[in-house]
Amino acid sequence: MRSLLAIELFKISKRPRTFISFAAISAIVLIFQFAFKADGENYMNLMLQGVNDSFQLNKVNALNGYFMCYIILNTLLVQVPILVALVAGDAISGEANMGTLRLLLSKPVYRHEILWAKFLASIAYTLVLLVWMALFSLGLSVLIFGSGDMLVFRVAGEVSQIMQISSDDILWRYLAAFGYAAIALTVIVSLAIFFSLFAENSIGPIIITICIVLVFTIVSNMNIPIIDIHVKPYLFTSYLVGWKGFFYIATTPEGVPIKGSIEDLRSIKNSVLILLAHIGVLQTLTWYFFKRKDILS
Amino acid sequence: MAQLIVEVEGLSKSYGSFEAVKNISFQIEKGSVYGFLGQNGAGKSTTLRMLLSLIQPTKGVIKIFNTSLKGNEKAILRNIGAIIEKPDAYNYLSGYDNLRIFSMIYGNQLKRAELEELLGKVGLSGRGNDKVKSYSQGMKQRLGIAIALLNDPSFIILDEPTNGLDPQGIADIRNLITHFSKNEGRTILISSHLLHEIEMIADNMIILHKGEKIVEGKVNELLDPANTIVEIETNDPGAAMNQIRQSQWSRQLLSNDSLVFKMNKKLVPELVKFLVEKDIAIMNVKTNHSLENYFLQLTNSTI
Repeated sequence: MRSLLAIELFKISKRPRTFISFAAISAIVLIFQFAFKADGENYMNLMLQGVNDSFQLNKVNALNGYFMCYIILNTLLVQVPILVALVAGDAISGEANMGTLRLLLSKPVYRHEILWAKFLASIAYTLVLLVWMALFSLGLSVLIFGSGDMLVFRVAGEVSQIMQISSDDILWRYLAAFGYAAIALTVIVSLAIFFSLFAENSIGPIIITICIVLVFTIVSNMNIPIIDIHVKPYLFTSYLVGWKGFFYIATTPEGVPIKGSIEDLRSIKNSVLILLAHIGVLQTLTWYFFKRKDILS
Repeated sequence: MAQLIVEVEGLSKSYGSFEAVKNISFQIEKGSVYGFLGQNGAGKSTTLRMLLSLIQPTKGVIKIFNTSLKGNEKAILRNIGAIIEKPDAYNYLSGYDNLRIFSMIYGNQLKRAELEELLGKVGLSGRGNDKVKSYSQGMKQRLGIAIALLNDPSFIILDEPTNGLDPQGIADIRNLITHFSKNEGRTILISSHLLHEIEMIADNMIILHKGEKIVEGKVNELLDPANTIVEIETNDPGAAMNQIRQSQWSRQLLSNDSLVFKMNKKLVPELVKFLVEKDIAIMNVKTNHSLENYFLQLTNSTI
């Protein structure tokens, strides 16, 4: 099993498409950082326009590395599933297309071992991608913009809210957020591998996975009561942005932020359980069909 | 009785109402080269894939190394080397990397010298560092054989190993297979469309047609010399034909227009002598009774 995992990681590391994601993330983050460095103050003025009278803020310090990372993650974590699908969607279909699936399965390995190796290798790739994202969006941003208290803009229904998290209460939240993102992206990995099982080239499973993520994300973002109640709870995409919950800090009845707190930990736990259930169901289905699959490619 | 490496009993595979393989049984003896013949869609590849657990049979029993394949796939496949259809490998990796990753499956970490030795054995010396996508079809075939040999298998399955090769490549593969069987004592199961190649290599053969076994037996026994096709070229075909028509040889004539006979190969010298005695000069005598004719004869008669 360890050998199979090493083989899968080696193969991923040797494919040029693997590095497209790293290049894309680097480019997006650098563009963001350049834009904010050049014109960030105007952006902050615009965002804080309505609160100037009631809230005393240092706009220069508010534009710090922590804030930058939050802004970047808000944009990137919607796109990263697409990048993850590029690799996971190729896991089995790519082998079928090359003709190496029959070569691999005619060796003394169990099919579930192959499946697990591919699943774990895709997760490892996702984790490395997240670490890369963390280094670029958090590490580099702190280097460029410095650190400080972080502002979080939140829109809940018709109410807009700004929360301030003190600088010594931020890093653990990012760690938890990246951990949550890893679980959320593992759902995408599982989905892409599942579709990869039924195709003989990787384009199909990659496109199907991306389409599902896009359609579900659009529906998840609709603010229509009937969809809120009857549809959104059943879409995994409704839980992909659950990482933001780590930045929604609890407050006292007087509205003072409580350091180290999370406003709705229960909701985050539920979201994690729902995502894990998706992974479990998709993995079980993939194993069931792969075990019975006739290798005709 | 020789030790049996493969025992297949009542093997069938259906896809819906289509029966790709219909109730076939055969046995392969240790150390033999077993030819698997059939046209496209005859069920050869499906059968070979079932032997490798790539396809689940609908019915039937497969025993390899005296052990049921079902439930013992991992242990059995440890001693089998195979190329199924095309010799595909990871194109974006080098020959060395391909060998290295497949050797890891067997728990071996082969050193560069060992990999080079293996590549040398299949005629790929010095090309191990090149990416497989730069290999010719023949080189990919050789690499496929090297991958199949990584576990030093006692039983090798080669599905259409000469497909897409030039004459020199075909001859090289044939020599390699003969070497594996005669010098190294490995058991070989080979399928091919180039039936004369099988005739030159195989000890036993099975012919499949539309998923059914038509015939099975030893190659030399299946080739009946009584049905040799003999074609004679003379300096005067018209005179030769007149002489033949007036003789007992007319019964062996296949056509009224040309000197083509269907006859026992042993009688060819007598026919030549007859024509020479009638002052007809013999320019060429062509005998043709390959397995290919036999195969075409059988399959055409059942269509």
